Amino acid sequence: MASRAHAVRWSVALLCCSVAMAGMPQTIQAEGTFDIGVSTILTPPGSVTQGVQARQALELVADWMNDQGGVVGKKIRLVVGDDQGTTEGGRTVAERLITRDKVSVITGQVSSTSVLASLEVAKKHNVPVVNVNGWASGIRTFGYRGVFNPGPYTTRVITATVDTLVALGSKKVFGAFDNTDAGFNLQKELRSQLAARAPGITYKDVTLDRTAKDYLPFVLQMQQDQPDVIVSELIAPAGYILMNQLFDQGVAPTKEVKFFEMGGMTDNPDFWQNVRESGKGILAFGHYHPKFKLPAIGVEFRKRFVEKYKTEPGRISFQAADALLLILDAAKRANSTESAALIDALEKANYEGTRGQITFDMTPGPTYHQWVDVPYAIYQITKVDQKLDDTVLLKQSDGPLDISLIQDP
Amino acid sequence: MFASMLVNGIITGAFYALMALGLTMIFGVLRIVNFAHGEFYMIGGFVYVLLYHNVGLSIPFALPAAVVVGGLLGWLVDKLLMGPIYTDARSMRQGRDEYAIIVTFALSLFLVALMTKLVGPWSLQGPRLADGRPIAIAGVRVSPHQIIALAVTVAFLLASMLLLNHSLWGRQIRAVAQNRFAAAIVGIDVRRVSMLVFAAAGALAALAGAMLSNMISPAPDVGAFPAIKSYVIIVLGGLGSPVGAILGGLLLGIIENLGAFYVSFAYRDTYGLVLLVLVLLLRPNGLFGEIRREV
Repeated sequence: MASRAHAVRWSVALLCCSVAMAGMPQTIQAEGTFDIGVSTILTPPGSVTQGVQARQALELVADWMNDQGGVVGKKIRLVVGDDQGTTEGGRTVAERLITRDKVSVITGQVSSTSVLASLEVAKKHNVPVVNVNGWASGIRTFGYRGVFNPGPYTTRVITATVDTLVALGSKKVFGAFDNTDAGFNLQKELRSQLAARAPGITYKDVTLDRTAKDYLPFVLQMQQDQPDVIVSELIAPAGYILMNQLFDQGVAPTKEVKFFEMGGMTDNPDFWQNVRESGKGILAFGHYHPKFKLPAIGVEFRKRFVEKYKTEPGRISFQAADALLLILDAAKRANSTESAALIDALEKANYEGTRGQITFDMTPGPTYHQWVDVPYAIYQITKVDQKLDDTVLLKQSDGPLDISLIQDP
Repeated sequence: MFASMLVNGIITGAFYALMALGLTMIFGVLRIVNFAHGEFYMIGGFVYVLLYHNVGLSIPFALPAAVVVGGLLGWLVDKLLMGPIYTDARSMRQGRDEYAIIVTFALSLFLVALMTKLVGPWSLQGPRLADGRPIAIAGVRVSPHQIIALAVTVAFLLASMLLLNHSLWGRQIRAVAQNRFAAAIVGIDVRRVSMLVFAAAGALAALAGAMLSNMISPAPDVGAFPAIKSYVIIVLGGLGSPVGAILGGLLLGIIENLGAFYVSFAYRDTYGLVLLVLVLLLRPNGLFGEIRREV
């Protein structure tokens, strides 16, 4: 009996400690606050790196705006839920935020999977969703009136990628995508755009499990059937593993085989902790570059972010900041924090955010409620530990691609 | 390319074997499945990476330190969590497995949460054991890091087998694994053997975590991957059989790599599971497992 009691005691103690350390959910509703639901990735299998970046930016903006008196006489309160970047997480967190925490708007999602999962829940309760980083076209093509997208979208990413592949004079391209909604969507879009716009390019692709730890069979396939360019959409940490294994086997990046990273990993704060020599020489697609001309609010956000977190903000930080600023702007214009009023106001948004003037397209299809001109950059990393600021900027969204600047790894 | 895939399968399999060996030893001696085994791997990886990057220890010091920490962790787990359950040889026969399962499962969650709090949810890449571009040997390209990691892994596997088969401690471990009660009667301290096995399992898993930290960056949740592979391997090789764990690991590594290359990468983890089902159908005790008979 003593050993039974002992085992039960230890198990209960360990489980209690685990739960306590994992962080208890916030459940207390505050009076006179504007409660904003934040559904983001705080634990795997999704990209925690992106989730934490989004949360940091949202908390910074909430504190910043609260210091200025809040909005429509209310203090902003963020109610955070961990959706893990999964379907079940996205749906459960949305349901809990809306029905239990009574939030009037949801933001913070950094994965297409969790955005897609939350859509039906949000639609049922008529609660708006301001999507931070869900790229998948389905988020737009469903045509839900309450969903707004100030972040990246598949068509824009793939158009820029194909432009780059054509400019590089690629003959043979291999794509690697993860098994997520965004991955499948980008894979389909790249196939279709390459077939239509660059039929001369021989193209193959593969879907890789984002939770896998060993991509060597794929890497060795690249060794045997060498392409000119390997395009990867894999997000961290899977993307880091792939890059390291490609480099270790001498496959890419090399003078002959370029590596084009379009998953937006290169400005992650842990990029250089996980990628060393394998990061040198890669070409990257990003939605932020320090050489962008930022509006005044973007400059101020960047300054505050560096002061608070002692690191440069990444693209996700800006996207999350804009999502919250758009919500606050809508509340101000509607003079209300009610969901329906927020949806009406968000549709009419014409707001200067941290990255530019944001408006939402009303055309049904892949750009519905999308900020169509979301900025992007193509750049090359030329040194290990290189700051984003020092990377070679090859193209801004409104400028030409200068491939003469590309250096051999 | 077949040779490349075969060599890569053997390298992967050797790491798998290192992870699974400790797990099967614990099962052999205590007849329990340690659900926190993957976390021993994760702690080993983190200790190695943090000592190298944050403390500035060089690889020859950081690697043994990770092994020692893994061993200490295993010893502590046995001392604090298993010891009071399995107090003597008699108690080991009384089917306390369910308690051990609950305790090690809780420990697994605890260690993941603890590391998330201590180092954050990020992954951290470990250093290469050797720098340089891949070397082509008979058409097979292998990186210097892989060669050294494989050499260290094989050395540890051989040393483990030598110790198990030819040392006094090894004989005691095998005796307890065969019959704990009889081993106790002839004067073997089964508690000490249990602690030794847990410490060795922790050390081997930590070594695997450290060796693979360059290719698979440690993160708090990284333990799930080696744990699942290890469970498959020990059932494949035969529960409690160290030789089975090593050969099962190699077999799994080779099958996964060949299948991923010649059939489809998308089903990589499935090949091992298909093999497992086939082995269980044709040889339910695993490739090297023995049919136990209680009298």
